[in-house]
Amino acid sequence: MSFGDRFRSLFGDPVLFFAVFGLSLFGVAVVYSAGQLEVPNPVTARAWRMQAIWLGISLVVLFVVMRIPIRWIEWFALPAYILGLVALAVTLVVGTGGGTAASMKGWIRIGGFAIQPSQFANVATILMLGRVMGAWREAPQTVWTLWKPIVIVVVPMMMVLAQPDLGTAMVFGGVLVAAIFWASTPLGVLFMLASPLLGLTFAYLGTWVYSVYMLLLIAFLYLYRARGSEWALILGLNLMTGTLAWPLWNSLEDYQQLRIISFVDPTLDPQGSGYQVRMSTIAIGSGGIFGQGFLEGPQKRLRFLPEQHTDFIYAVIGEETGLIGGGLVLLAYLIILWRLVKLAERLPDPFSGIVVFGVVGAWMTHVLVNIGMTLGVMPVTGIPLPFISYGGSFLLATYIALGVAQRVALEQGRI
Amino acid sequence: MAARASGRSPEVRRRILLAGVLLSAALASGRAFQLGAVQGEAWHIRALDQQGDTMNLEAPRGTIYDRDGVPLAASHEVFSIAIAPREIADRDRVMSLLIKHVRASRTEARRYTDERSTWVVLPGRYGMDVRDALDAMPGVHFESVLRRFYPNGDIARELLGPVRLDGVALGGLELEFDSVLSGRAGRAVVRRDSRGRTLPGAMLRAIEPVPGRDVYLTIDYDLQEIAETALADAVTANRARGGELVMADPRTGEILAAVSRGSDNRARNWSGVTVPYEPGSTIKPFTVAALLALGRATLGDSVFGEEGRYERLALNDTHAHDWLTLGDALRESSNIAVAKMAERMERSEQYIALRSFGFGSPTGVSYPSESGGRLPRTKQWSWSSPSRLSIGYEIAVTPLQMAMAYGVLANGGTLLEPRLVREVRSRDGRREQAFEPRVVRRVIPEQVADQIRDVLVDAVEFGTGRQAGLATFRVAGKTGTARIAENGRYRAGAYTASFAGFFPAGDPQVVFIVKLDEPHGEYYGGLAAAPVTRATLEAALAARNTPLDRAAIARSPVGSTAEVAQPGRPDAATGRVGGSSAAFLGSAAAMHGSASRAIGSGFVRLTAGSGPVPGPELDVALHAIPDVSGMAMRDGVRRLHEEGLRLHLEGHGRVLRTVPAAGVEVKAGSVVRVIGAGGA
Repeated sequence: MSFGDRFRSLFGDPVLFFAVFGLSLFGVAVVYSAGQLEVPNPVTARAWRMQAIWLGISLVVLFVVMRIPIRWIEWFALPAYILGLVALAVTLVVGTGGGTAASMKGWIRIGGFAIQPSQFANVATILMLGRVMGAWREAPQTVWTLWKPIVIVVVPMMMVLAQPDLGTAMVFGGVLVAAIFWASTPLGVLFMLASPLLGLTFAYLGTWVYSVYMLLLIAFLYLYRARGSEWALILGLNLMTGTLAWPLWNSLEDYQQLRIISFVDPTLDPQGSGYQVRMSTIAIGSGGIFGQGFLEGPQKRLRFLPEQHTDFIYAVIGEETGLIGGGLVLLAYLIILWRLVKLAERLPDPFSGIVVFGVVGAWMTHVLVNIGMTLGVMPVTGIPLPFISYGGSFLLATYIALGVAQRVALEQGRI
Repeated sequence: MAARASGRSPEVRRRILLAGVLLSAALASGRAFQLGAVQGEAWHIRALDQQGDTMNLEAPRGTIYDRDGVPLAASHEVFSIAIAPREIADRDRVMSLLIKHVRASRTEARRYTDERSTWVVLPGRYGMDVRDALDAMPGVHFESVLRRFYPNGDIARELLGPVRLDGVALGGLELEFDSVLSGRAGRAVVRRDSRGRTLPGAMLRAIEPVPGRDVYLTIDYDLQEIAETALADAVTANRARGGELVMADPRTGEILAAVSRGSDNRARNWSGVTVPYEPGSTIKPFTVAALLALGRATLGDSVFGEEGRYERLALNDTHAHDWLTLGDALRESSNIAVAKMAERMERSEQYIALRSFGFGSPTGVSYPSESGGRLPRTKQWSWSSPSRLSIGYEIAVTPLQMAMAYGVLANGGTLLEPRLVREVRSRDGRREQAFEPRVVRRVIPEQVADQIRDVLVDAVEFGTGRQAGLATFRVAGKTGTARIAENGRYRAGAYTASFAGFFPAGDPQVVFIVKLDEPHGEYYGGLAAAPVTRATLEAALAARNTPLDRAAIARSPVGSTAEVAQPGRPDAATGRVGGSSAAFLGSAAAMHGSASRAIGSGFVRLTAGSGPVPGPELDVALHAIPDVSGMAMRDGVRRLHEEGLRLHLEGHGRVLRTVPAAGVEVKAGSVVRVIGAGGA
């Protein structure tokens, strides 16, 4: 057994491992930096140590997961998924706010630790999707054939939304889209699935826009030769979301409404989420090309950055390491996603492929939404940056997902 | 049914996905490039803007001193303390320091340093010592506050005017000289965090504050204090609504003391320049002076007094006169005689004369919102106006105007601009601005001033101002009693009693005016206002550092007509100052009873400690010497004078003892040695 093989057997794909582990170490450093304030706050100043401990735990868990055969994991998907649902249900009852997100019930306190079940439920959901969709012998042809994955994802997603944690709920959506997409679902069907969301959006924009959209939708259904049941379902769903748009909007939490409003027009809510976006753009912009220097970012030091060790940590990176640091981090994510896509592509085993691609969907959602919001091109939703943001549960959950992907990579060499 | 297979192969899927990923990445990096590289400078400026906070560095406000450098109003720096418990490194040490220096209890100290709170502001203000003790502790923050304080209490507060806690002057000299006193605030750019908290020691650049300059007043602290006490006593004794007292140097126009006592003690404002009143008889000397200067009359001209009632001009006199001279008319303050004589002037002449003495226009003193009083133009006069104006009605003057006008009589005919400020000095003591005496105009020839002066001396000695007479030195002055007009009519029983004059008559050093508003009981000016002058002058002479030139006073005790024992060896018996003191004090016995009348033309003996003043109506009862030990010299002197004793002062400061000792019974007029610090 060569050194390379031994390495693979321990760490899986070395590029993937080093990219993730490197980002994680960098993350501990940035969390440390985020705690270095002009007027110190003992809680955030100690955060980096917690993050380092969680990283250690995550590494151990990674190795453990990599020792579990894929088939066992596939078998374990159902109990894990049910466990996840139970945990989410329990969280809705006894959950508490965590850290800066004090208003939502996303965490369960066990001893000194606060666990965020939604992160683990997300991984379990990916596994469950793989198990269900991996059993398909042919690509889904109609909307109806997709009901199982939709239900599997929507149930935990709704429970997360009820916390309410819009950001994590969006990740479930990302996982679903990625899995369905990867399962060779025709693009037309994907469009039909997405159309109710479009209808919702257009209804919000105005009656005229919505009417034009509905005409275009009918034209599409006709040209795509939709089946009768599809006609009924899609038109029904679009009419429903179109007319329910306002009641639904009113059911959103105030801060969620504000976030969407402030995304449309950041000047409307200068002290709320618009304020957060402005602060992060100022930080990233003032970082320039080379940054203000590690630990030295004045916006961070003077606490102008919101949530600087969690959701807005990319602004710290931007301020202190500039365009170069921010670009390198982005590049690392691209490499990670690229390696995962490459891995999924070569897999004859449908379960493995769906799972790896679900992971791609989840991480991509995290990275795009988080960095996008930090840069001011996406709405502000509380969503952490993988491997870097402070947060034990999320780090551990990403490493479990990484472990599964690496086990897949390991076994793929043998299959 | 055609199969829907727009891309079944994983290759196509991967490409679509990859394109999406790359597109997103390109979007993100494009945006990052836009922020960091293209707009970087602009964002950087916004960041600096946000992090920097311009802070004013307060300039210490200048001090206001009296003429001799006694501080009246000064600023000192105090600190408020705030504690950020989470920044504290050594909690026990901070707690013990708080207990020691801030005098916090253990419980309070624990609460101040409790980590559950982020920012605790301690109550109260603390001095520099507390700051020095705690400054090195992380987590303890200081904010400096400049406080105005008055090292010598409330002396001259109405002149100084109030200053708000934030250093904004609201009135008085503080406002008038605000630009001089306030200096220039410095600016510092400090870093602040998102909570708006400025960070200590993170100053980026600073413009040093320029401290305010010091203002030296013409006010004499001692005289001011004496005047305040005397006026307050008089207001109380006469149950008056308020009063004014102004003392000035007629040779320079310097205001030596200025006191306003209103019914409302909180209203701190020098009403001596802001509130005019109808002066009544105190204006008569100017009518007479104008007649003399214009050559329309001499003091010897006779005028018929109409037996006290004069229907044509609708005037009355309290004392009925038949024929009397103009000099007597002024001395006896006959309304009818003075008004009749005033008819010898043209209206315009009378108007110009009053204007020339400074009435009807502001004096130009450095004090905010000075009133010019009211002197109507001749066009607005009625048939009775010349007579009314001649005796001080239909005209309103401020006490300061009146003091300056008496200054004309005192200094030989020149109107001076009154001054409150001598000089402005920089903090390091360099003189930056000096205010020299300014002559406004010559009003009357010197001999006219001298003539009037002689009459006024007589007025004090024999006339209505008798009670102001100081047996030792002549006071020249005139009393006035004017009814108070309210809403266009005179209010029954409401009077202003005033006494204006100068001292010593021979070589005037102080010109004064005392005014009491609505005294109850003896409302006539002579009876109400004059004693205040006496008390003030007495105490002023007893005080060691009033600006009175005792040598000059000693040289000119009695004026030209003196039939007085000139001091052969003025200082032989009593020493340097004692000579004059003892001489003046000797007069106390004479004051008791009606000695002044007995001394012939009212002039005083400067007897230089040579035994009791001989006088036919001398008080021969025995008086127990009161215990004055521990009192300020000045107060002790006042107390002993009340017993009719003559004093010999030795030393200064507080009275240590008297010889003979307290309790010993002596005759009035006996010499008592008052021994203070440094005395024998």
